[in-house]
Amino acid sequence: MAVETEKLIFYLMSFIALFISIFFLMTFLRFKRKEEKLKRTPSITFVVPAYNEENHLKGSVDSVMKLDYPKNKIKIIIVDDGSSDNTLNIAKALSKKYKRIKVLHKKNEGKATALNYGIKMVKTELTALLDADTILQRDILKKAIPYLQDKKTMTVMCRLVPSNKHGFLAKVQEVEYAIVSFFRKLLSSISVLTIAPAFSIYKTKFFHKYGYFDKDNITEDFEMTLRVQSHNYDVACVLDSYASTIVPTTFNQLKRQRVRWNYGTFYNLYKYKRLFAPKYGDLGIFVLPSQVLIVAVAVTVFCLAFYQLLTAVLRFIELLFVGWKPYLELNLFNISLFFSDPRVVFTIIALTISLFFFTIMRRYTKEKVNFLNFFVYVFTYIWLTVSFYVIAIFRLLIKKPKW
Amino acid sequence: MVRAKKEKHEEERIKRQIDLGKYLSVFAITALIFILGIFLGNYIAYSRVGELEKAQEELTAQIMGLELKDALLKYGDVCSLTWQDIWEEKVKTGEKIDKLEGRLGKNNADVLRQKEIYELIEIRTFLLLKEIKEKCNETFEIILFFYTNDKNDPKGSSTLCETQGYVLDALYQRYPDKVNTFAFDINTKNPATDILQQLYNITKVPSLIIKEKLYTEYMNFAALEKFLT
Repeated sequence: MAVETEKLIFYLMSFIALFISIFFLMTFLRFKRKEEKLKRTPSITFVVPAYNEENHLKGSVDSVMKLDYPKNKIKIIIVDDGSSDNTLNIAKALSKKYKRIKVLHKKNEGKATALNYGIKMVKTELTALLDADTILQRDILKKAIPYLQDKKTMTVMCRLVPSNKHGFLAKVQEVEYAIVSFFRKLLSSISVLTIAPAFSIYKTKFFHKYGYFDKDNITEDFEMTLRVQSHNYDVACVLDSYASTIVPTTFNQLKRQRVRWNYGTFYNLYKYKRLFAPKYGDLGIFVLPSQVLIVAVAVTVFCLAFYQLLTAVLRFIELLFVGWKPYLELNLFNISLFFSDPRVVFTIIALTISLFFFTIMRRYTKEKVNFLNFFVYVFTYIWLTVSFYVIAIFRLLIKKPKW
Repeated sequence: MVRAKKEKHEEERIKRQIDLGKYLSVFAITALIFILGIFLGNYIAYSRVGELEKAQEELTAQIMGLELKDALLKYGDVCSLTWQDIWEEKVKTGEKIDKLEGRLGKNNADVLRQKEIYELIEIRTFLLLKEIKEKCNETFEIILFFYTNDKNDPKGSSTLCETQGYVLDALYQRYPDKVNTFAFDINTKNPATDILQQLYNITKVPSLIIKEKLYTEYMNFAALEKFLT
């Protein structure tokens, strides 16, 4: 590839990435933190789909039972999705312990079907969807439900934090989850949030009016929030409280999870391509297109960097074989030339903006996320996640994956 | 009544609006940072061109000093000249040219201009060192290296020339006191470098002149090392 073409691609990608960052910066500057007060305590049913969750289900259900909310207003429906382990027995034992728990059992057909099976039994005003490996903070309902007092808001989701914090991948995902949560809050502040994973609360009437989860969709939560937005309803985000969830700790687990998410994202963006229109405001002309653009930028930069790195490494090895020895002379001339490279200049700008957001995020969430982990996240983990985009695109174009 | 009800229903949903002012502001700020970023980078890089010019001037002054000293001595002893400083300075200046080529591009007008001046300095240094070597029985070796950066040059492969350059660097790394290479881009437009090419009958690249003999094939480290032992 010609050097000039590489430069042009790099400049274009930098401009797009910078534009998106500045947009978020402007959104943050206009962002006003609102503390909503709980005016009434509507009844709520937790639907907990569980497939082979014998190790986590109890912790999740116990956390619901300990919530700081009137006990008589909470019900739980555990849907055992044809588990092959001891999940069903644990669910039954929990239903004996807590009278407000109902256990349903069905053959294994996937999470969306299990959710629908449970939602159809819900009689309360609100429906909470809770993953069986997710644990809630005691005050989460008091923080989340006030958002649903707004008639425009149909769904509320909350900040997620990893519950397992040991190991490299868990530590960097802690940084990732914190940053992502903050961006979700910003997105919700301009009514364009389109995701509600692990734990979310819906007004039950929405399902009755606009349908249940798409059973063939591998990221059913993303699809549902796009559906909420498509009817011009809002998805709110709680930052003050959180739910903790199990995150992948091995490369293969992470790859499987992220490729599935990415594949589902592409699939649903295509399914809801009609939302890419000015009549959907910021969502249609900026947020959804930028989801596509971010992937395009990330994948292009990743491929370009990979190509350049591979070429450089091969050349380096070749030169070692001809007898040349690498040397690094640190003088003002060489250092200033290094920092004059636009790639370095834009990397520094991007890093400064990221650090700004990271610092703000730490202040808003009161999370003590390590700065060192942030740099590890930026310089290593991000590239790992981009490689999962590449795999997802490959699978989308070549073959449909099996989950 | 129906209309009022419908309006109420409409009110319960998000009113999507596009704040054009916000997008224009974002675009303007992005463009400003982007241009400033490129400007800053180029400013730093071009300030290095100035530094290189200064280094070339100093090197020229050093060579001129030696040449004048040689001329004034006339029948005196050329071997009394302290040439070791220009030997090292010439290599350092060459490295700076390489770094600038890497940053600003091999076809950048400023880089080409500096390279042209550098090659003229190289010729003067070469002539002086050649005289010293011959008259003073010095054991160091001078290699003239003719190369191209043009990927479509009919006279030879630019990649092979680049590799040959690294091999010569390796040779200098191993024997910094024994060998010094004087590299010339065959596409530099200058009467002095043209004459040099004609003198040595350079028709293809990479070409090397070692001990006044022309070699028109790529030479590996071992082959070059033999000339030094």
